[in-house]
Amino acid sequence: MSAGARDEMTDPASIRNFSIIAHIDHGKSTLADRILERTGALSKRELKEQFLDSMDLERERGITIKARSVRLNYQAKSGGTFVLNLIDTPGHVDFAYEVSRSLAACEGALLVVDASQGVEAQTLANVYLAIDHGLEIIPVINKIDLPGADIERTREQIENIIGLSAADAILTSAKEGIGIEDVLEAIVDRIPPPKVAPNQPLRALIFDSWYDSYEGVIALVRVFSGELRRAMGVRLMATGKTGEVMRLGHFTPHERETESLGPGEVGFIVAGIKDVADMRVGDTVTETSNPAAEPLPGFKELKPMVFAGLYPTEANQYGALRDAIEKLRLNDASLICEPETSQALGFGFRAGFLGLLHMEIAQERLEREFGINLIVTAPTVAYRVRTTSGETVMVDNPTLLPPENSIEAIEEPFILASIHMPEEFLGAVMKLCEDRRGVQRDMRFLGDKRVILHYELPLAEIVFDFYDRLKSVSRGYASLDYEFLDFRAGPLVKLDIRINGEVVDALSVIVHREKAYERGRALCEKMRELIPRQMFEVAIQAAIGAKIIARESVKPLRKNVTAKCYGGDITRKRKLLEKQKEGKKRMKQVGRVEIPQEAFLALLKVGE
Amino acid sequence: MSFSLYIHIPYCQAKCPYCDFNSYAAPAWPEADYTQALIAELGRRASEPPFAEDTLRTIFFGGGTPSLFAPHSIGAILDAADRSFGIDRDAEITLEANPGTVNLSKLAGMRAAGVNRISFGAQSFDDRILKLLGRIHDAAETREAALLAHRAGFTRLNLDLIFAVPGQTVAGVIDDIGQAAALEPDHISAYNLTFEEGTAFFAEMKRGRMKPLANEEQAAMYAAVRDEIPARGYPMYEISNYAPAGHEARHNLTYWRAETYLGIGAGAHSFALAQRDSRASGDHYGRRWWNERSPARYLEMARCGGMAESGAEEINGATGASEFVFLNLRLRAGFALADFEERFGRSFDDIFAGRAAPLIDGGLLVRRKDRVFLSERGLELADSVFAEFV
Repeated sequence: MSAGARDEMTDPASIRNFSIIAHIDHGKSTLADRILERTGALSKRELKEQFLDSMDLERERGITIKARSVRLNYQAKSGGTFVLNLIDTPGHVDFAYEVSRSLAACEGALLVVDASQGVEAQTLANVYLAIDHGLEIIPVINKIDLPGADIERTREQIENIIGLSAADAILTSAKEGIGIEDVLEAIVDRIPPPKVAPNQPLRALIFDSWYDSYEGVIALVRVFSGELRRAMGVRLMATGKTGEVMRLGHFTPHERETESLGPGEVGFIVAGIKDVADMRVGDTVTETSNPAAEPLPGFKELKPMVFAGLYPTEANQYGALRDAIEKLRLNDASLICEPETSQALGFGFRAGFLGLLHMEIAQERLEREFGINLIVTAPTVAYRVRTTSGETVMVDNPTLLPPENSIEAIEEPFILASIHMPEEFLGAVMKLCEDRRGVQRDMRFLGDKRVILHYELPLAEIVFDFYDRLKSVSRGYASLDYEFLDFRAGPLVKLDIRINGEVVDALSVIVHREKAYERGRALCEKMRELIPRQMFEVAIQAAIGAKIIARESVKPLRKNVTAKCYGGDITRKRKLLEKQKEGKKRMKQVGRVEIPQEAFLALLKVGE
Repeated sequence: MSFSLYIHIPYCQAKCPYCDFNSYAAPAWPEADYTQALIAELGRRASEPPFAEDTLRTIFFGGGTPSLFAPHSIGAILDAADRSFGIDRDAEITLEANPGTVNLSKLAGMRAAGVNRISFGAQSFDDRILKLLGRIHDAAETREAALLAHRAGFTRLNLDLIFAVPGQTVAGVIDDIGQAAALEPDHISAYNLTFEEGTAFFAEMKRGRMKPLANEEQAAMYAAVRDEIPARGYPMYEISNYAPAGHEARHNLTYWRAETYLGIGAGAHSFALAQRDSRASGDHYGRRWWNERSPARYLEMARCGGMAESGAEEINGATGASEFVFLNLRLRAGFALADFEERFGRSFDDIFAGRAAPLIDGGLLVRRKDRVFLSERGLELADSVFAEFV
C-alpha cells in the first residue's frame, strides 16, 4: 500500500486505538519513543527524545497540554499486520475535558507505573476517566531495571488503590528497551478493535485542534462510522460550521496524506476553517449531504471558570500584549479576552481561563514566547448580581461590582465535585470540603477501600488552591473532577486592598463575609512579604467599604548608600544604578509605591 | 582649564580582606620599572589632547600602598608631571599611606619631594577590629604616624575610618572618632564597610561565616558618625567625608563635580569632559577610559610607547546628566542649578523635573536657593535617590 494513493480503507478489525496514562517521570514519553522506534515509525537517527511532547513549556512542566496522535504499523507475532493509533493526553484537571475526548477516541489504554515509585496521584483521575469510558486497561510496570524497583508491591498498589487486576501486568524498562514487544502484543491481543456500525452516516470525533497559519484549523479526529474523504462537504454538528475537506491523513509521526479515513481510523483533517472556536474539541464531524441524526455524545461548550486581568508592566507594551494575545487565541479557543482598564494598571485585558493552570500557562507563554512583562491580577470567578432595579449582571472583575446599595443579591457559581480517594483519606478530604463551604451530596464505597465523595462547593473555593490542598491532604491519592451546577445567592462582599490609603482596584476580590477577616489578614501579610522595602513606608490595608479589617506595613529602607565613589568607581556605579532601575521595570508603580508582579497574585500565595 | 592627576600604585605588603581595589600583596615590587612606566605614560599624555594645554591643580597617589615607594621615586614622578603639564603653585598633592610603612625620614622625604597632604588608612583605633580588618598596623602605630606627619611638616592630614564592621558597636565607632580627632587631622573620611564581590569578606559572607550588620544597625552607626565627626569641628561635606571649610580634598571634589581627570598606572580610570561646543549636540559629552589592570601587563604596555589603555566609553549628554546628578548629590551642598545648565545647555527641570518632584515631595531631595541637595534622610537612601536619575 503506498501512502497518498490509498483507496482501500483499513479493516477495522486490524485497528487498535489506545493512549498512555502515566504520572510524570514514570516513563510515558520514553515508552512512547520505544514504541515508535520498535514499530519503525522513527529511525534512531530521527528519534528525538520524547517526540510526543512538542512544546518546550510542556516538557519543562512535565505536562502534556496538547494531545497528539501517531499511527503505527505493527507486525504481530501471530502474523497479522495491525494499525496502532497512539493518542496522547494532557494531564491536569484544567484540561480534564480534553482528556476525556482523547480517551473517548480510544478502546484501550496503557497504565504506566514506575516500579520504584508505585501508583501516584496524577494518574488516578485519568485512570478513573478511562474506566468510566469502558476502556480496556493494560497495566505496565516500568523501570524494572532500577535498583529500587519493587514489582510485587507495585502490583499490589495497582490492585488496592486503583482496583485493577495486575496479574497480567507487563514488566518493562522503556529506557533499556525491555518488554516493548510484550506491550505491543498486549495492545493487539487485549485491546478490542473499534466497534463499527456498518452503513451509517459519517460521525467523526474531534479530540484535538490547532491553528496553522497556512491551512487554518487542523483537527485530529477519530472516525466512528462512515468515511471521511477528500473534497467531501462536512458540517460540525455543535457549532454548525461547514467546510470542505481539503486535506486529510495521519501522522506516523511524519505527516502522510491519504484519500480517506474509514471507520475506526484516526487522523487529521483540514477543512478550510479559520478559527479554532469553530472546530472544537468534542464536536462531531458529519457529511453535509448525508448528515448523522445525532452527534456523538459528550460535547461540552467549555466555559472559562477563572477570570483575571492581564496588563503590561509598561504602558507602551499594550499594543504588543494585544498582538500576543491574538496569536495565543488562534490556538486556544478556550481563552477568552476583552479589553479593560484599571485605575492602577492602565490599559489591559480581562481574560477567562479554564482554571489556574491554564492561566499560568497563558501567562508564561506571553512572557516567554512574546517577551512581555506581564502583570496578572488576582483571579476571580464570575458572579451573577441582581440589582435593586431588577437587572442581572455578570461580574468577572470585582472592581465592577455595582455599588452596595444597588445590589439585591450576589450569586456565586456552585459546582458538583466528584472526588475519588482511598478510604484512609476520607476524613481529611471531608474536612477540606467542609472548610471550603462544601455541602455533601453523597458518598459511595466502591470496594477495594475506595470511596467516591460528591460535594456541592462554591467554585470560588475550589478554583484556587483546592486541587493542591486536596493532593496534599490525600498524599496525592485523591482525584478531582467537577461540573457546573447553578448560581446561589450568598453573603458575599468586596474586599479592597489599600496601598498607602488608596484602593488599588486590581487587588480587589469578592469573598464570603465569614471569610473576609481571615482572607484580609492573610492577604495583607502576604503583600507585606512580597513588597520590598523602599524609600517610604508602605501601608497595606484590607477594607470592606470604608471599614478597615486588617493592616500591615512595610518598613522603609533605612539605609542604602554606597560609601565610596571615586574616579575608578563611576562607570561601575552607574551600571549598578542602571541594574537597580532595570529591576524596577518588573514592578508596577502605584502612587509612589513599587509593587512587584507577584504581589498582584498574592491571593494565590496565601498559605505558602 | 586645569585638571586632576591620579597616580595608581598597586602594590601592598598584605591584601586587606575587605579591599576590592586593584591592589596586589607582594614581598617586593618593581619600583624602578613602575616609576619609569608612569613617567612614560605622563610623557605620552602630555603630547596629545585633551591634556596638552592644561596644568595640574591636584595630584593624588593612591593604591595599593603608595607609601611603599621611596621619596625619590615619588619625586621623580612629580618632576615628570611638572615637565609634562606644569603643576600649579598651590596644587594639592596627596599621598595615601599605611601607618605601618612610614617613619620620620620617609615622611620628611615625601614632603621634600613635593607631597603636601598625607592620607592615612587608620580604619579604627581598636586593635581587635584592626586585626579583623587584616591591617598590618595597630592603633599605637597610627598615633605615632600622625605625630610624625605633623613633625615632618604636613599641615594637611587625613585619617580614614571604617565603621559597621561586624562586632563593632556605636560606642566603639564614637570612640574611634574621638581618637582620630585627638590626632588633629584636618580631614576625616568615614566609610561604611561593604562586602564587595571578589573579596575575602564577601566569600566569608557567602559561606555564612560572616554576617554584615543589619540595615537598621548600619543606619544607626551612620547617623552617629554624622553627628560625632562634625561635633569635633569637621563638618560633613560628602557622604563619607568631613573637613572644615577650605580643607576639603580638592582632588576628590574633581570626581564629585564630574570634572576632568587623568589617571595613570595599572587599572587607573580617566575622564575628559568634551569641549563646550562639541557638547552642545548632546552626543559627545565626554570620554572615560581605563588602563590595563594587571601590573605586569601594564608595565609591558607602558614601556612600549607609554599607552596602557584597555577600554573606553563615550558618554553622551543623557548619561552625562545622570552622572553629573548622582556624583554632585554626594556633596552635602549638592549642586547649583546654574552649574547644571552651564554644563548641559539645558535646565535641570527640563531634563529631570518629573523625576525630582516625587523625591522632593517625599522629603529625600531639597531644592533651596537655586541649589539641589539631599536631605538627611536622602543621604541615608542616596542610592535609591540616584537610581531615579539614571
